[in-house]
Amino acid sequence: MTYTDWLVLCFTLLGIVLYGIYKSRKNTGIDSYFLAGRSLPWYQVGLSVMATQASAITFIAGPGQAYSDGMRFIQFYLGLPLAVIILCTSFIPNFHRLRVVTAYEYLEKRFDAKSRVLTVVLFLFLRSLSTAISIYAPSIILSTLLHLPTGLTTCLIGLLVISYTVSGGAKAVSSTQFIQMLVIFSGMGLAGYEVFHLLPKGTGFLEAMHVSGTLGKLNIIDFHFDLHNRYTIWSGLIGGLFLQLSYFGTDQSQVGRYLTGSSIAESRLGLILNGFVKIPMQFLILLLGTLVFVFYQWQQPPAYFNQHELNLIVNSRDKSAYNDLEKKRQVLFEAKKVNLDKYILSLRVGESYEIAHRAADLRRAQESFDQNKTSLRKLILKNHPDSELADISDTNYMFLNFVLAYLPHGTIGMIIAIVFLASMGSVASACNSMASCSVVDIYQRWIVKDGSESHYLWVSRGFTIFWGLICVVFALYAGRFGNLLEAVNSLGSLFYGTILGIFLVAFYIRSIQGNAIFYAAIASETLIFIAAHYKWMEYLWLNVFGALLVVLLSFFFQKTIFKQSIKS
Amino acid sequence: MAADTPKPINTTSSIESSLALNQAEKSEENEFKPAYWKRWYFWLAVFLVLQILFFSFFTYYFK
Repeated sequence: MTYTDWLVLCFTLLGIVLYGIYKSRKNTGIDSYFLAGRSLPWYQVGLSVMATQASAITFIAGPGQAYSDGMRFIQFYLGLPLAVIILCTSFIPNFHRLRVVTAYEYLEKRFDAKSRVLTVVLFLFLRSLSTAISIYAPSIILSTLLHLPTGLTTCLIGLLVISYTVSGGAKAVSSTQFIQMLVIFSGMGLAGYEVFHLLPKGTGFLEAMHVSGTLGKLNIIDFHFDLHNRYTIWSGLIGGLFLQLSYFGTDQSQVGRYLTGSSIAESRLGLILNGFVKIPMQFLILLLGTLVFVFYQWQQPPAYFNQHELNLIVNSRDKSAYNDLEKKRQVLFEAKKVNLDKYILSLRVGESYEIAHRAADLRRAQESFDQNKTSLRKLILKNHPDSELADISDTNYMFLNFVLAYLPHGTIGMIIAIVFLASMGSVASACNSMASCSVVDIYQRWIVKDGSESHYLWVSRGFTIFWGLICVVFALYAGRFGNLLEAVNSLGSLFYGTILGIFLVAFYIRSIQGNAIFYAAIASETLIFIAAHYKWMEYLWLNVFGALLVVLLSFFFQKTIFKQSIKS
Repeated sequence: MAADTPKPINTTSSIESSLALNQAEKSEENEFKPAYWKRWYFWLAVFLVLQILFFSFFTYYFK
């Protein structure tokens, strides 16, 4: 990082924080603090929803995912447009018409107070842990890049976000997220432009795509139905639909974003914008990863992108084994490059049988190269002092490593700013949503019912600081959660199914009442924990399992145990 | 177990809340008829199908 990069980084971050505070200086009550006075236009709602969903992991791990596993991850988002249609027809009109501040307020109107409290507690527990991971994920990478302790970068990100979320509320979050998304889009566009221009002269986009496809990185759609394959079109459309419905329909960090719309129409259009833009955006992020992969076909990549893990092996007793692997790696890379040049030549002048022949040679060369990396990974794992904590997948480090090594100064500062901004967007929404639930669903409902607007405003600020600090404290211990991406997903899957089931019953099965849904939710949550503990299924399926369980059990309870209560 | 009194969705509070819908929203709802939103949902679904077709083409063309 040069002075130019630091200047770009500090200017972008400070500018956005100050802009957020300036835009929200007229907060007068909890409606304006949590929902920006329900005054935002559709494009601001849409970009805010996108910024909340896109955490730092999206921009760091996204290209890395494509680099290592290809573009099949995009199928995960295919259920999103379908979820948007259901949300626009059922969820948004119900929330808007009842003028609720939180989604869980609706549950008391529909069922009773205890169902509302149960759902709020589930949400607060899930969101605080997930947010801690969202703070920790970029901080561990930034600590590597900036050579600062992880604890310090965790506190830095946490305190930066808390400061402007506390002072500005939802309007600061939405206003800054709007600018954040613009910065993020331009930064990623700039990175894409730079990567493409780093390819050897004369290599066109189509040739780059042929190389990428031949080496298995353009495996975008898979029509095979396989329950053990995480990303197929079917798991994306069905599993993805349930997951996105739970996330956008019942998680206050998202509901709080689209309720800032000035009307049902503005909220709907904001979500529809997300339905149109999300998949192409993910496609471009993953495409960036495949372009970096193509670039590294001509330019030798580092043996391991996670420099910290590599240093451990370089300074260990297995140093000679590492040196042998490194020598072999260089030979394999040169051989692969020869095969690559022959393949490119055949693409330009050869017949189809020759292209197929050269492609097969290139694939074999790539397999040998990958095997070398697998051996290095095993060596790292063997030498790690605590194999449980070894970060053997270095995909999270790939993109930032590339940025630091090859992009021009200024762009580096901007990309690092994107990491901060993406993290700030999702964490600020989460802190704002946890504070809104604490104030509206607990404090205002059970503790001080008739306080003044200014009283609730100050209590809201207090709860934002409280939840922000709780998340930072959790984040300091997040290293013990293991793999972060998996931790976020599996944690969400433990609770989302039950919460979605409660809302589905609320909207679609009018005959079911409070007691039936309350006990069904407790029974379902218990069964989900048992299912997760004994590994009955992959964690993504827990969302479907939990939602269906709540619907079926509440129906059963209503028709049997609580049958009399309807008649009375 | 406490009696579970049926609680229909239109409670007094929710009616009051519904009445709190401001005039702008009412006129807006009249302005945007269901057919308007159905068109949006239709084009969203069409766009999803087009993306799947494009991704399939990408997958098989560059295989």
